[in-house]
Amino acid sequence: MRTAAAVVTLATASLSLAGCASAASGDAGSGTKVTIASWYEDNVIGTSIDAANAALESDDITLEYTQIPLDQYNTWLSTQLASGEGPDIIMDGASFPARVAAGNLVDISDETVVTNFTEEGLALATDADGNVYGVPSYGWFSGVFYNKDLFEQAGVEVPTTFDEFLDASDKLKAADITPLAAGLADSDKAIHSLMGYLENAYYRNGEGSPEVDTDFAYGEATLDGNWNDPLEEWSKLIDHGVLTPEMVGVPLSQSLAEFTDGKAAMYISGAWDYQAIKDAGLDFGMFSHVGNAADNQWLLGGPAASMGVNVDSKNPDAAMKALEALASEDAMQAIVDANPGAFSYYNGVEGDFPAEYELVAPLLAEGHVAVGWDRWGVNMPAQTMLDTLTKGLQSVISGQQSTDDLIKQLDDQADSIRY
Amino acid sequence: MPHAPAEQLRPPPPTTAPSPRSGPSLAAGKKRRPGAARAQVRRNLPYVLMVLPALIIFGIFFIIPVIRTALLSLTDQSNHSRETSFIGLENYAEALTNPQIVAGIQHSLIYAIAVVVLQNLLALPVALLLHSKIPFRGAFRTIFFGPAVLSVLVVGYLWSYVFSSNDYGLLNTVLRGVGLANVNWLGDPNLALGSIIATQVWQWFGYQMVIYLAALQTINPDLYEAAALDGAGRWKSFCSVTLPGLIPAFQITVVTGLISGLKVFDIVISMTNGGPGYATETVLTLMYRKFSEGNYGLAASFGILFLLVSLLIGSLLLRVFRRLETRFS
Amino acid sequence: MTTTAQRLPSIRRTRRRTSTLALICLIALAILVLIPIYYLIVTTLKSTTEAASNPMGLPSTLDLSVYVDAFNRMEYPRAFLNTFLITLGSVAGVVALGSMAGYALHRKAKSRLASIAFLVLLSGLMFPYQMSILGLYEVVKGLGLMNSLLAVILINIAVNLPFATLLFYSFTATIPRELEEAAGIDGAGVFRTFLTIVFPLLRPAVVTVAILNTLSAWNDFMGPLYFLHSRDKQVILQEVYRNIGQFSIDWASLFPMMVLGVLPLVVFYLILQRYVIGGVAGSIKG
Repeated sequence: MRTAAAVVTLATASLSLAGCASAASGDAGSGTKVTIASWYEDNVIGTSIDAANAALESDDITLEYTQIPLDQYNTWLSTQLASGEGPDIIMDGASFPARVAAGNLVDISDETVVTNFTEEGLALATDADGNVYGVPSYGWFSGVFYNKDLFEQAGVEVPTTFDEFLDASDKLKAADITPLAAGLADSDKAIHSLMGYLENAYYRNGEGSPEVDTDFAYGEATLDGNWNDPLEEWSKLIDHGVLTPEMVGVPLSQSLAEFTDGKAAMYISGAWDYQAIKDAGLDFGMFSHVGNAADNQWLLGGPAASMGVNVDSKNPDAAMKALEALASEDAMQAIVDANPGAFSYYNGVEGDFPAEYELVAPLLAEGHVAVGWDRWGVNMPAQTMLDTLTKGLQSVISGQQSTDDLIKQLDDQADSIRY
Repeated sequence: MPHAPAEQLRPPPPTTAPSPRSGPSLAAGKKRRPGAARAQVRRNLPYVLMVLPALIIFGIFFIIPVIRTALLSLTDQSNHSRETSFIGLENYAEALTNPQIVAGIQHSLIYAIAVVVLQNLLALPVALLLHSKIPFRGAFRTIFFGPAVLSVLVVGYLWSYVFSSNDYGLLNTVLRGVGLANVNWLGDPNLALGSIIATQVWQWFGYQMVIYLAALQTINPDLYEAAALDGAGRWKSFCSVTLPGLIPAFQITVVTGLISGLKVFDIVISMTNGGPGYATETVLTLMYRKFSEGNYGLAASFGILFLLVSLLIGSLLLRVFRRLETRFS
Repeated sequence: MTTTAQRLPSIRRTRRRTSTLALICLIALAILVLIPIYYLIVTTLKSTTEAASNPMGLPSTLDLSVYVDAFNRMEYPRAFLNTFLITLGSVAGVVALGSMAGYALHRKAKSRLASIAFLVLLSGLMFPYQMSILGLYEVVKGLGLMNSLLAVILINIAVNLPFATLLFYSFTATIPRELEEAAGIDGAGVFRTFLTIVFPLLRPAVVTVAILNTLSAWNDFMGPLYFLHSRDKQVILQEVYRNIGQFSIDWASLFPMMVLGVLPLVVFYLILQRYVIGGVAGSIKG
C-alpha cells in the first residue's frame, strides 16, 4: 500500500510540477514574445538577436531564439509548419522557396523593410510573380582555405585553374602532404567541390549557362546530356586521390582538425570555419573554386538563411516588428561582424574582410558569387536535391556508382519533387 | 484456466440446470437478463475504470496519431504545397517499387538478424560462465551490462570517432600500431553496416546476458541431480536440463531483438546517416528521409506498411508470450 | 550461490580445467567492453593533438576545466532538472497506469472486450511512434501542450505502456486469486484490494518497469526534440546534440559533453546496479 501511495503521489507531483513549469514560462514577461529558430549557433547569430531585442524593448516585445541541430532542422520545421505551428519568424536556407511555395510565409512585398536589400539578396525569397516573402540574414560564400606553409614546403603556387589544382595536389602528395582534408561522412564538402567546379568550368566559362539550371528546375532540361562531361572531368579528383573513399568514413569535425593541425594543405569551407582555423594559429589564405578560366573565377555562395513572418503566427504584428528589427542596419551589421568573411545584402552594410581573404575579396566585389541549387529552388525543394547529391557523391567516391549514375539519380529525384 | 473468482463466489443463479438455448428456455433467459446484466456491469466497472486511464492515454497519444498517419498515407500532402488531394493507394505503389526501400528492408533484416545472432552467441556463453563458480562474477556482470545504460546517440558519436578512417580514428591507430593497414570502417559500403552492428552487439549483449542469467537461476537444481542420477554427463545434462530451461529467455531475446532490430534508427543516424550512399539506410531512416524531404504522404505509407509487417511479427510475439505464460503458471 | 552441478565430483573436475581459460576469455572481453569508455574519458582530458598522437595513453596533465566549460555550456543544472522531471513523471505514470491495466486485464481475460483492449495496447509494441509524428504533433498542439514537459511525459507513458501492461499482466498471473477473494469477503472493493493486496505483490514487476522506463525516458531524444522548443525546457541529450551539431567545434571538446551526457545514468547504475540488473532480469517474467 505504501509503495502504491508513493507512486501515485509521485505521479501527481511530477505531472503537476511539469505542468507548472510550462505555465510559468508562458506567463514570463508581460510583453509579447516572438519566437525565432534556426541552426545557427549563438556565436553566429547571438549579437544580432541582441541588437534586435534592444530595438524591440520600447514596443515591449521580446525575441526568443532557439537553436536546432542542422541535420534535424528541416524535419523539425516542416513538422511544425504542417500542423499550423512553428516559430513566429521562419528562418530557412535552400528550403526557403519551398516554404514560400507551401504558403507558410506572409507576403512582405509592400513593407519598407524589403527596400533595403539588393535584388540578388531577395532572390531566394521571391516567387515567380515577383512577390517577396523574406529577407536574407547575410551572405555566405565558400572557397578553398590553404595552408601557406605547406604550400611553400611542397613548392606549390595557388592554383587558378582545375588543371593547376590537380598538379598542386600531385605535388603535395609527392611531398607526403595530404592535399585536401574532407570529412564526407556528415558533410557536404564534396558538393562544394563539385558545384564550385561546375560554376567555374561549366556554368560561367564552359558549354553551359545558368539558364540550364532554370530549365532543369522547370523540367525543360535534364542534367543528363549537360553535366556528363564536366562531371567526368571533376571526377579526376578521385582518380588523383584528392577525394578518397576513406574520407567517406570521416566525421566533419575530425577533418577540420586535420587541416588545423597542419596535416592537410587545403580545406573547402567558408566564413563559419574561419575562427577555428585562425585560433589554431595557421598561416593561411583562401582561394576561389577553380575551373578552366583563371580570369573569370566564381565563388560558391548566395543568401544564407532568409527570414520571414509565419502566416500562422499568433502575433503577426509583433512578428512583423521583430522582422523589421532583425533586418535593421544594426542587427545586419552585428551578424556580419560576428562572422568575419560574411557579407551583407543590406545596402550600406559592409562585412569585415581579414587579410586571409585577399584573393577572394575582388571576386566578391565583382559579385562573382552564385550557386546552382539556389537556381533550382524556384521550382523544387532544393534541400532534397542536396541530400540526394550528398548521398550520390558518397557512392561515386566510394566506387559504388559512376558519375552518369549520379546524374540519372538527380534527374529522377527532380522528376518526383517539382512543384 | 479457472473461472474468475467473483463468478465462483456468486451464489448460483436460481435457474434450472443449463440447457441448450433453444425454444422455451430462450424466453425464460430473456426475462432475467436485465438484472444480471446490471450486476455484471457493477461487478466489472472497477476493472473497466482501472484499464481506462491507460487506454485513454494510449488512445490519444498513440492510436489517434497512427490513424492520422493512415489517412495521410492516402494523400499527397507535402511541405511545399498547401493543397492536399486524395490519391488512393498511389503512395503504397511507389513505396513498394522504390529500389531504395527494397534495399532498406534488406538492411533492416540483415541488421536485425545479425544483431540477434551475434548478441546471443556472445551473451549465452558468457551467461553460462558467469553462472558457474568463477571469480569476480559481480564485476564482470557490472561491466558487461554497463554499455546498456548509455544513450544510443552518444554511443553512436563515440564509435564514429573510434571507427574514423583518418589519423584520429582509435581503431585504425591501434591497427597501425600492430603493423596492419587502415580499414575504412564507416566509409566502405561493404563494411559500414557491419561496423554499426558491432557497436550494437557491444552495447546490448550484456543486457541479453542478464536475461539468460535470470533464466539460469530459475532452473531447479534438483533437475541436475536427477539427470546425474540417470547417468547423464555434463554435456547431456546441459542438453536435457540447461537448454530447455533457457528456452523462455531465448524466445524473449530473439523476438524482442528482432522487433527492436527492425526498428533500428538512432544508431544509424548518429553513425552514418544512412551512408555511404544508401549502404546503411534502413526502413525507418528512409521513412524519416522521405518525411524530412517533405513527402508526408509517402512517408506515412512507409509507416503503415511497416506497421502491417510488424503486426504480423507481433502476432507471433503474442503467441510466444502466451506460451511463456502457460509455461510459468 | 552453488548449484548442484558443481557439487557433483565429475563435473567439478571439468570445471577446474576450463575455469582458468574461461577467466582469461572473460577478462579479455571485459577489456574490449571497457576500451571505448576508457577512450571517451581519457580523450576529455587531452588536446586534439595529444588525442591524435596518443589516443590510448593517459593524459599528460589533469585539467578538469574542460568539464567546467562543458557544464556551463550545457546549462547543466537546468537540463538535468528537466530530464529528471520527465523521467520521474514517465516512470510514475507508466507504473501507475500499467499496473492497474495489466491487473484488470488479466483478471478479466475471459471477456472479449478485455482481450480486444489488450491486443490494442500490444500493437504499440511494434510501431515506432516517431513515424506518426505529424499526427502526434497535431494532438499535442490541440491539447495546448506544445513546449511543455508534460507533453513528453504523456508521450513516454503512451509509448511504454504496452510493455509495462504486458509485464504486469503476466505477473498478475502469479498472484493467487484467493488473496483477493479474502479481501473481498472482508468487504474491500476491487480498487482497494488492488492497492493494499495486489500492488505490493507486484513489486518485482514494478522494479522492472521502473528501471526499464528510467533508461528509456532518460535516453529519449526524439520526444524532447520535437516537443520542447525553448531552451529552458530542454533535456541533457539536446544539450549534447546542440554542440555535436556545431561546425566549428574542436572535436576533442565534444567528449566532455558526451561524458556529462551519460554520467547521471552511469552513476545511477553503479549505485543501484543490483536493482537495475534485477529489473532487467525481471523482464523475463513477462
